Amino acid sequence: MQKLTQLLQRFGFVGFFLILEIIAFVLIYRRNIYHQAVFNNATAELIDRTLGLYTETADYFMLREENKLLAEENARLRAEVASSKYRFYDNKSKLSTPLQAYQFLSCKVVNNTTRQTKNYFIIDAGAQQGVKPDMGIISPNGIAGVVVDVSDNFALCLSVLHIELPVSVQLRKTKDFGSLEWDGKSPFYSNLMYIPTHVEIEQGDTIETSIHSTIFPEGIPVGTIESYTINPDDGYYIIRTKLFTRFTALRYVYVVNYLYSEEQKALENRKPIP
Amino acid sequence: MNSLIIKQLLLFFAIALIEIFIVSRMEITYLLTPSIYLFFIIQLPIRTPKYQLLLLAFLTGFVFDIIFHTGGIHAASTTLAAFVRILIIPAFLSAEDYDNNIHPGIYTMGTSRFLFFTFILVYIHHFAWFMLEIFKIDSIWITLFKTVLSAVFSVLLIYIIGLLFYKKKRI
Repeated sequence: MQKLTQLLQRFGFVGFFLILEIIAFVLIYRRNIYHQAVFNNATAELIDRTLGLYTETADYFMLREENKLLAEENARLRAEVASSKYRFYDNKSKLSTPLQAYQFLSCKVVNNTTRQTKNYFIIDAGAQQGVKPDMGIISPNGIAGVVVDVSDNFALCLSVLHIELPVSVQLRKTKDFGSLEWDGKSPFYSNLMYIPTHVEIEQGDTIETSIHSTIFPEGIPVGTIESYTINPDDGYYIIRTKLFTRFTALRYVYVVNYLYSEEQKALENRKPIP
Repeated sequence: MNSLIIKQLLLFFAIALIEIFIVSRMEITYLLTPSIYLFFIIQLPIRTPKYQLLLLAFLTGFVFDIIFHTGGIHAASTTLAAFVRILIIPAFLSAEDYDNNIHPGIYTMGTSRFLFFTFILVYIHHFAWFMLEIFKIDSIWITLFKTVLSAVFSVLLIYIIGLLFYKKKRI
């Protein structure tokens, strides 16, 4: 008995170590559930506020770059407004007012990572501003991510630089669609998968978001083709894509609110009658 | 004893601020992703009770898990590093060091001994971290390469911080 106590005294810490590791592994395993529990409380809000303050200060040093980006975006939008488009008016069928399908909310990135294989960022708009999980995030020049969790004034978003976030995209020229999957390496490149080899592609072709997505509107530019190889396993292309969004300098973004997403999802989830 | 706790708390805050606002924002390449907060565990006095050391390591990792939204990855790897510290520390220190209850550091251990000691712990910490983060065995070679590069860079940063935080005298 005495020997047993001695043994426990000498090596008890190994057991303690194992217990702590098991707790840590449970936390890793329950990562998503745990996020929801922790992210909604005051501590997380405080941490994000502090990080936001830091970003605010750092912003002053980036204003020149930011102005340039916004000016470029303004120019693009000016080209999109009705007055800068030539339109045929048909006397017989009058054009009806188009329905509003998407709304955009401008907000700022307060914390962002690009170095992990599962990257997240946090924006300074949350439930009170109408942000909900599954809304898309776009940057002035491309796509950025998807909201996964919201607190009162902040939202946690999966970055496009996340190995488990495939995005449905298509080639602008031919409209063939595939899936954009990040390989966890460079934050400037991602891979476009599942484009069949009979499709003609060229270096420099533009890739945009596809019509299948309930998260992003169709036609948001994503990137250009840098190079491509054929995957020997399944015979599809692996297309290396240079992303338009500069994730290492992500500052101002827009939350995309698709007004019909509930309706579309409800229809997709409705089970066919047997 | 109280002043030691206050000093350690202040050190923890300083290290956390450096980690969050400077080191974790270094965008060099995906192969170089340093982190320095393990320095807090490395420099704890060598006669810190084993249970206390493991618990402190777990809590340190847990704090960074909350900040970086990583589940329990930091906690798991930091606890592992603390466990290895308990195992290897007798090989690095003399009886005299034990009597003085030194904080492992550049001036108390000597530069080369401290750097070797730090490298082993940082390497184990980084390797566990990267493996848990990517959770795939088939990318082991790139992970090993990434670990070596990142660990060397982290040790360099810890060395610089060590020079800043401690004056050249025996405590």
